[in-house]
Amino acid sequence: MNIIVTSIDYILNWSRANSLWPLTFATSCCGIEMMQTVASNNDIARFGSEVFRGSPRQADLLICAGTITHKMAPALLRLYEQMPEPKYVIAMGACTCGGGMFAQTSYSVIKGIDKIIPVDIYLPMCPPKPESLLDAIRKLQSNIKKESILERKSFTNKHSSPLSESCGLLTDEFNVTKLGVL
Amino acid sequence: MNKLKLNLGPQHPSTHGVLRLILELEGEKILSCEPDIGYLHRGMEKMAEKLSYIQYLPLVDRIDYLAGFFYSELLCRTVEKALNIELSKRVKAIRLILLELNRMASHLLWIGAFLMDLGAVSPFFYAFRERELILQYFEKVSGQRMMNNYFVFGGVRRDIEFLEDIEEILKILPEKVNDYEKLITENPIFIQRTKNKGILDKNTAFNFGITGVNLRASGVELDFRSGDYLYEGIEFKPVVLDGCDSYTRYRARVQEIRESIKIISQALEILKSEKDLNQNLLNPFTLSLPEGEYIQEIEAPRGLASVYIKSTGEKTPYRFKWRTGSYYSVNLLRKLLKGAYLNDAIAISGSLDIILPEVDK
Amino acid sequence: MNWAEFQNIFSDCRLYGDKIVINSNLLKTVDFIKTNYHFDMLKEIIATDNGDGSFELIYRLFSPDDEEDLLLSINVKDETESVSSVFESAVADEKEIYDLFGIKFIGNTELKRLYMPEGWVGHPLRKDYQENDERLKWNE
Repeated sequence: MNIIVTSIDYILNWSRANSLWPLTFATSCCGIEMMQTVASNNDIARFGSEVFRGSPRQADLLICAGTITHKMAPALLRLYEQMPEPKYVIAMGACTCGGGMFAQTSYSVIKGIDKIIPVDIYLPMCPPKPESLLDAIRKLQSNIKKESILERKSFTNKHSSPLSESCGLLTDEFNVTKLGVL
Repeated sequence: MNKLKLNLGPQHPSTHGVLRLILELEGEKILSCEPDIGYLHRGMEKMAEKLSYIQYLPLVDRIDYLAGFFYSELLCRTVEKALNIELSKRVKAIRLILLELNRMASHLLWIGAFLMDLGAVSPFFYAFRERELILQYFEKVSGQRMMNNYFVFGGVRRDIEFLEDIEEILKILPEKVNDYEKLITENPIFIQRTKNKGILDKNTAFNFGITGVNLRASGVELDFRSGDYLYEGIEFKPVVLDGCDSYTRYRARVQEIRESIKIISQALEILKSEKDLNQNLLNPFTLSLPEGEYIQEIEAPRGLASVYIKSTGEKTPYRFKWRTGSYYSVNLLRKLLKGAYLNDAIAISGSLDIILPEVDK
Repeated sequence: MNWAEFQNIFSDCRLYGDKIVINSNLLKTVDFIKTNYHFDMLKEIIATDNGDGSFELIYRLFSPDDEEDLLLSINVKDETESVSSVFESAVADEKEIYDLFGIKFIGNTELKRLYMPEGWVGHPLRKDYQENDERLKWNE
């Protein structure tokens, strides 16, 4: 039994890890470094992630590249929830990891996107160099290769949104469904 | 025909960040456009009131991440002028070189991103290859690629090095720009998508507060560099083209890259003759501006940038206000997109070179 | 511009530093300066909270022919005339000031929340702004 499971795991994880399709979600400064990672000198295609998708329904990696503010937070949550399983998140840049330079004095910046969505890889620095983003993708790949279908339940629990009643402004008045309504 | 409301953004690959356009459509025709901004509002102006000048200085690069040097320079300049500090010739030349390199990097990125908006992917790779040369030079000099934080009140962090790298960039770039022009300028698809699209005449531009390349591509010779103290003794000609459309704005930016190359080579000559880095560095811990109001301006890649500081003599400013070029360009979209077709919407908004942190501050 | 001639028409204005300070007739003055002295561009509107419930608005007009600035200053309570009928760019500035300071501009039809989301309490750039929204406790 275990032999079958590990063989399936191996094939499944191998194919998932080497075809991570990121969502183009470039909110600010880190987005430019993300573009640089795609461009000639760094070439993200070597790691199977060059297919940037405009629609969350076709993507399985959310590279959150840049500051998230209160106004943007519902959009981020909505995009994450629209992505199909399995999905992974890289928090790129200091702002997404914990508010960065804006954490202490700004009134509108979210202090870390892990308050809204679960994060797999944290990538600090302001902004991270393209090489660091490639390293983060490699680390995520090695994490994916350790997954097993037997632990599927715990995986989906881990990757469901932690948003609880405590996130007041986000859930009631700035309801995610309101964003699309004009 | 039924009217349709289309929501473009805030997460859209072609809106250069988090711009949201609410378009009212009739068929393919845009009846009205309402930009919705603020998705990247970080409260920069309020933060300035809570922080001292030296604490605020590193944050300033984040206002425009493609041209961070300009905003650093603007803040340093305001403080220096308020306290009557003279810069030595070498410091001025260093700042000038870095500013113009940054302008080139910004325009190069714009060429790549704009052409990608129109569906051409290869210019993106070419433009980013050359931009990487400039960024790697910035990293050598200041230790950071984009958020350099290199200018300080009264001078620069340390003396500039690796001049041979700049000379190499200046040697490589003109050929590469020629290559882009061969690839893009005469391309029939590109011409069809941009020529006579997004017409911005002179009076509309004045009325909407448009400055910078967008204004000069409408035939107005207004370049705030000509009165700038950094550009004293430097010969340069503002790029003024009379076409008013997206195509002209593209040509103006390409020509500005060539103009920047000329400015940098002149500044390099100054740098070679002036060996002495005479810095008048201020003590950042006791720094405070005398009571009063201060306004300074600079010609940034995306139009006029200016800063207003009201000081009461304390260590933190009483009021801090940024004026950025992109903010007014976004407002202009309401006018330019009205009556245009949906497939031109991205081409027109891309040609104005909007960057969102500058809009949202 | 000719200062003496200007003061003849608008008698209640005075020169303070390099600013022209007026007390009323904002729209009329801005329109007059634009048509007669060719200040064709409004660079920006700067709002400042004086701390005593009044706000100072500085209009930075610019003449592209002479490359010259003109600062026009007015003190307002929380309501004033909009100059958006003279300068289109004022629409953007007034929206920003409405959001961050809460000053209403009569005649500008597009005033609503701009930077902050709908439902946000308070105007952040006012001096008495407090960050004590109970709904935002999760973000601390």
